[in-house]
Amino acid sequence: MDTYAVEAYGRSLSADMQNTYSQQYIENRTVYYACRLIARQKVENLQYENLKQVAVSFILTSEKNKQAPVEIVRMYRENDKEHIYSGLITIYNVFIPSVVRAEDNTVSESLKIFAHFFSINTQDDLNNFVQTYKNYPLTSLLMLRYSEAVNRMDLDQIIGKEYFTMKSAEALKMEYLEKNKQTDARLAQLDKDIAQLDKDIAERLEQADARIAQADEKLVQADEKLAQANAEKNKLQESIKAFSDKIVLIVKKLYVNSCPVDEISETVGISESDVRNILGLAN
Amino acid sequence: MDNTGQFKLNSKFLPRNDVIFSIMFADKELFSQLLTSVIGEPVDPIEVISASEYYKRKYRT
Repeated sequence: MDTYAVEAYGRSLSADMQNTYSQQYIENRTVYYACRLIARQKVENLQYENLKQVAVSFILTSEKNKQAPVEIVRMYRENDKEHIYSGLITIYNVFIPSVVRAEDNTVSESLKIFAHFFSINTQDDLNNFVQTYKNYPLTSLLMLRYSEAVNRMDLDQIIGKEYFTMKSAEALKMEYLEKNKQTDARLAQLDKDIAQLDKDIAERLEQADARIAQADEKLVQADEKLAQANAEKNKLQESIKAFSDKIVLIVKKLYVNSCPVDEISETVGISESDVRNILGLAN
Repeated sequence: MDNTGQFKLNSKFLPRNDVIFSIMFADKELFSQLLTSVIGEPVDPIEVISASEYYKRKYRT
């Protein structure tokens, strides 16, 4: 753990900073730390009732979900959530982005100052922080201790300690796992998108095939109508030709052969009145 | 703090850096104020041990 302390009446306290993490990682780690703080206590003559409380606090700087600013974890019975089973362990998970976002009256002013301090990324952030909270003694103390910490001569030596090199390696591993998780999620989304596209394409192809089949059917019907119209046209042309031949024959019989109308009527198979009408039209 | 009285940020060691956190909050007053604001009740530690101090004592380096 990053820092721990014991109070005069025996309660153990710890505070840790965690920038990258998974939910299960934090859940297990906080419980492990709490158990370790309990296990450090001596139990004399099996007097477990004398064990002192432990309070484990984790300052979590990255956003996972939108959580309450401070999550408090205690032990309850499965069938009784009203009463604490044992007050030995209390875990406090402080979600910095949620504290920063919180309305002024939902978290204490000092917690808000700590949250803004831990959210500093740039010189401008730091200047704004100092300007906003310049009237609070806590701001001066934070800036003083920060300046002292970054200017420590033995800083590199401290960074090189096994605990911090392990924490750095662990942070890198977390980042790698998080990136892998994001990549897997993106790949899964891409697979889903591709499957949806395949489905859309198949549906559109099916619709296009149905339209082509409809068009083909209409084309066949149009061809049939065209053939029918052509047949009717031919039939009409034949009738016109036959009628023209009859007219020519009538005219020829009348004017060349000087046949009487009744003979012409008999020869061409048309009534005498029709022959007279045709001749009237011809004149 | 620089010559102009402005606090300088060390971009390699942001305030949330765990090594910096461990050093800064080994300060009894700061540790107490942080945990009081988190827990919501006063805390009064006898002594605060940082991870680096713990390893220093453990391995006597």
